[in-house]
Amino acid sequence: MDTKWKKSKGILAFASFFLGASLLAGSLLELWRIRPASWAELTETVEGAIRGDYQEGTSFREEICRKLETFLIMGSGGDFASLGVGLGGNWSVTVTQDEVQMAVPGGKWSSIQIAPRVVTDAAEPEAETSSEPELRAEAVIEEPAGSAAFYVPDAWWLGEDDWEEYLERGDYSEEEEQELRRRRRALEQQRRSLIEQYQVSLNADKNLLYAVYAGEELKYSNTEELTLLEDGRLQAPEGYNFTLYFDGSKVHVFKDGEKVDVYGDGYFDEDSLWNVPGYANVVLPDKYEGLRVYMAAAQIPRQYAQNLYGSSVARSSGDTLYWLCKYTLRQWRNAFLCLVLLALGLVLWIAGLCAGKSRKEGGRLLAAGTGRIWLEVKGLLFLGLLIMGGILIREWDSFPDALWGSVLFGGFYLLWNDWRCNRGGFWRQSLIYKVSAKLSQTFSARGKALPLSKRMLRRDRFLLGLMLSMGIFCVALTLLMARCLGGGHEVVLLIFLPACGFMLLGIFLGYENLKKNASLAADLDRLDKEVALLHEGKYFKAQGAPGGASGFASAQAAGYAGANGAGSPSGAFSGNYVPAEGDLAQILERLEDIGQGMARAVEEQMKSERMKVELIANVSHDLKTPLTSIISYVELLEQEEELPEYVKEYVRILAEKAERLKNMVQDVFMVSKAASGELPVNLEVLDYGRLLEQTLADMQEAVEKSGLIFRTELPERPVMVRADGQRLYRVFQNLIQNALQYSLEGSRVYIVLKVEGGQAAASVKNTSRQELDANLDFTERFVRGDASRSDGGSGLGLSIARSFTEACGGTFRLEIIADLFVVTVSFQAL
Amino acid sequence: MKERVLVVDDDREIVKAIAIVLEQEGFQVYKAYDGLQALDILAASRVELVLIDIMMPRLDGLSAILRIREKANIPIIVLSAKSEDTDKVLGLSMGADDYISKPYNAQELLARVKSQLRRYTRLGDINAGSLEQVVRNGRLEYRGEEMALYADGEPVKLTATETKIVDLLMRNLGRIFPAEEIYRRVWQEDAYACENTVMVHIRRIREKIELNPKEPEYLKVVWGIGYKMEKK
Repeated sequence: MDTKWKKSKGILAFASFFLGASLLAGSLLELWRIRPASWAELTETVEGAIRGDYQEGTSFREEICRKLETFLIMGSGGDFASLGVGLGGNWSVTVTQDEVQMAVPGGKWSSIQIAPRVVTDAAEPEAETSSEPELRAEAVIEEPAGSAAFYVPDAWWLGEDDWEEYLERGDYSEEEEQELRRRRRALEQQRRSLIEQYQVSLNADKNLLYAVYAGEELKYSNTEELTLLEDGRLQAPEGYNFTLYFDGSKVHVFKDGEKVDVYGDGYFDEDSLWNVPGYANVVLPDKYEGLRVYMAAAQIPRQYAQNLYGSSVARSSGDTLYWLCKYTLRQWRNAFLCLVLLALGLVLWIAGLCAGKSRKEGGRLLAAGTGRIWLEVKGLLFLGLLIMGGILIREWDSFPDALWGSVLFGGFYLLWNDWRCNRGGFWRQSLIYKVSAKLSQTFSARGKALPLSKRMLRRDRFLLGLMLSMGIFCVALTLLMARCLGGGHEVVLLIFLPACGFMLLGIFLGYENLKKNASLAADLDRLDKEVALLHEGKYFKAQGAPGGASGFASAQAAGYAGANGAGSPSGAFSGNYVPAEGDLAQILERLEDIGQGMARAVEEQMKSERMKVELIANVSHDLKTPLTSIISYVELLEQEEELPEYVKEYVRILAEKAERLKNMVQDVFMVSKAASGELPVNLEVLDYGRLLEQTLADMQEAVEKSGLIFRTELPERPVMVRADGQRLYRVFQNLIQNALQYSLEGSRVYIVLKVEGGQAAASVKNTSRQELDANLDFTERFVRGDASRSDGGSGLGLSIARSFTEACGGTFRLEIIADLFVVTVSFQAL
Repeated sequence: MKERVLVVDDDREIVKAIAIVLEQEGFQVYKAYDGLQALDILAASRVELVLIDIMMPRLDGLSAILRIREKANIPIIVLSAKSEDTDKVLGLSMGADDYISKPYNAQELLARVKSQLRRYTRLGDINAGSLEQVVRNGRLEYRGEEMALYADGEPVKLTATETKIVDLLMRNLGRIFPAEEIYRRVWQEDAYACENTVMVHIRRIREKIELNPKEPEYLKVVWGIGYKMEKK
């Protein structure tokens, strides 16, 4: 319950942080992209977004001012040149062959399709017809044939007077001048026709009603419903809430029946909202005198279209305000949403930030989840999100642009989080990595689970498969090329056919190689197995060895033949289990020699070991027989009463030495048996501590006689080990005897049993009477600290102790620290 | 009546040494130096015990034992330089009654010879098992009513504590007793650091009942576990 809450808290914190950061990033990006020029613009945006009135926007005002300018130009005589140049600045009409493209301030583009010339017939009769009809036919511009001198496009835009001057200054020949004039006329004609078309489109645009009067004469209009009321107010039809009246010197603007303050303090400056005639500091050219313009803009602009019946095309026309409205509103909404998202993002981000620790936990949890997805899938998902964001922005008007940035950032952040938490796993959890790892496994020695031969064949098969598929593609390509290219490209075929041939040859050779390698692999398998057998210590018996040996060999051969099936080229092993041919025949032969050599060596060693034991047994037996006589007669001598004292002393020495000889003979026999591993042991579970107690009790008399102090430290609880009690008793008997014999008088002997790490270790520590040579291995046979060998020991005590310990499966360790002699005998505690 | 012992060994000096020891104790000794000689002597005269070596010319000890056992059930003691357990087992399974490894100890040899003879000549016809409370184990016999231990038919002198220990062990032949249990049951006290005490008493009893106290046959230490009376 608690962990569950913790978990979900972490996920919540992380989600909050992640969402906040993404929104923040996206909206900041979008804000940077919009870059509101001033605080006023920002507030306008917010207000506009809330009120949803496009007429409040800068672009609407600019459009109205521009339209007014256009109407003034039209009303004052409508020179195309002045239309083209005079309308410059941040507004231009680019006239192409059949399209006027208009740049709307604010970066949004709309194109005004101008109907082709045919349509002009249907245009209103009041359209200007000042152009010469004979020039209409020449509306098609012909490029002067390769003459750069005639191409002076800048001049096309000059006014009539400037044009004349230009021609004079240009110092053209008669012919050239004629040509230039002709071309200019043609272009002028074209422009005029375009202006006509522009007027047509203006007239079709019922979003903006207008009327241009020169004096009392109505020059241009697309409506009859505009009438002037008192103080510049215009009577407009229903739905037109914005009116503008230009009385020849000033404009009167009314919106929703209320007068709009246009001029402010009456002087034009960069902060002025309306760029219209009538400011005190702006002089209106004379030619605009007497012109009156009526304009009314729709509250909700519509898209007007000319339906070209018969051509199955409905052509939109004159929908400038419609698009302007649409884009203005959209921009506002977008910017507004951007601000909202910014605020929301900030809140979420800070909230996530506050939950520091659990957020990180949540991040890790999420990374654990995303870590299971393949990298490629993640990449595709990310790409898909981006593409979807793009589509949404294009197709769905109210989709805020800021979200796209957020998605971009969020995707990156998720990937980064994944990478941060999973590190190597991030790259490893990918299709490409897995495939390449599989491939590299195929080719590396790592796939050790499979036998060598299988690995080899697998690699070969893989390569052959690769080549085969390449070959198939190559042949297919050749066929395809032969079909597609047809005649005339035989050279390509000539190159490709040999390539194909080589490829097929390669495949054939690859197959042959595979076959060869298969047999090689089978041989290798055999080699591997023989080496493994050698490693396990099962040596090959010499050829022709009788009995069990040859049986062993033939069993091996049968095993190999069975294991390799029919794959062996030489028909498996026929008596001799080395293939007669094959790349590895010689190696196998030599290996067999080595194996036999080792078998012989081991056998000989065993034999010599057995002989040694036998020899020692015989020797000790042969020694015992005379020894028996010696001891027997010494005993008889000892019983003699009448011997002089000094003879009795001799006899005593004889008895003592005979006894020692007897012990030595027995020890030698024992230790040689133990060393050759022929010592029978009877392992049973016993209490190690009790064994030590019993041994000490058994030797109590000797201990008391020695004058040494014995300190024993045994655990309370029984320490069970598996050993041969009789042998182990002998081990400690020897160790204690050793201590008794070589310890410094009056020193202490420590006998400690400890259980550590599953090992029951008993140690006997005593202080040596003599200086010890640390380089001496005291467990070697006949080694004594005293080189003179004058003491009573056989020199076999420690050797026997070690042999017996090892025979029981324990470990015997001897340490010499200065004069301290430490023997540790440890067994696996049960 | 002098008991007759046949000593067989290819080493004449050993035979002589044994003969000296036995004759000192009042035995009549016959000497043989190989298996065939031994069989000849056995065929010719009456003998109560045979001491025989294993490795001998002409006829080895083990074969000789088999041949002797075809006719007689007199005690046979093997005397051999082969001291391995397997050798002992082999000898005993061939029909020998005891085994002494060379080099022998004269006292032990004498004790074993006497023990075997006692059992052969005297105990063989004792009405064994008539008493309920009698535990018989090899050379040993424990009479529960009297709290008395007999070795080869002779009473063994034991102290009170030793008797209690023998009583416990003889009534539970083959069972292994940890020192603590022996102490608790004999001394009737809580056992603490009793290993030495028990061991001392065990050693004393051994000296009284074993033929060779250094290599006990009956009262044995089971190393690392406890003590027991071997069941024969």
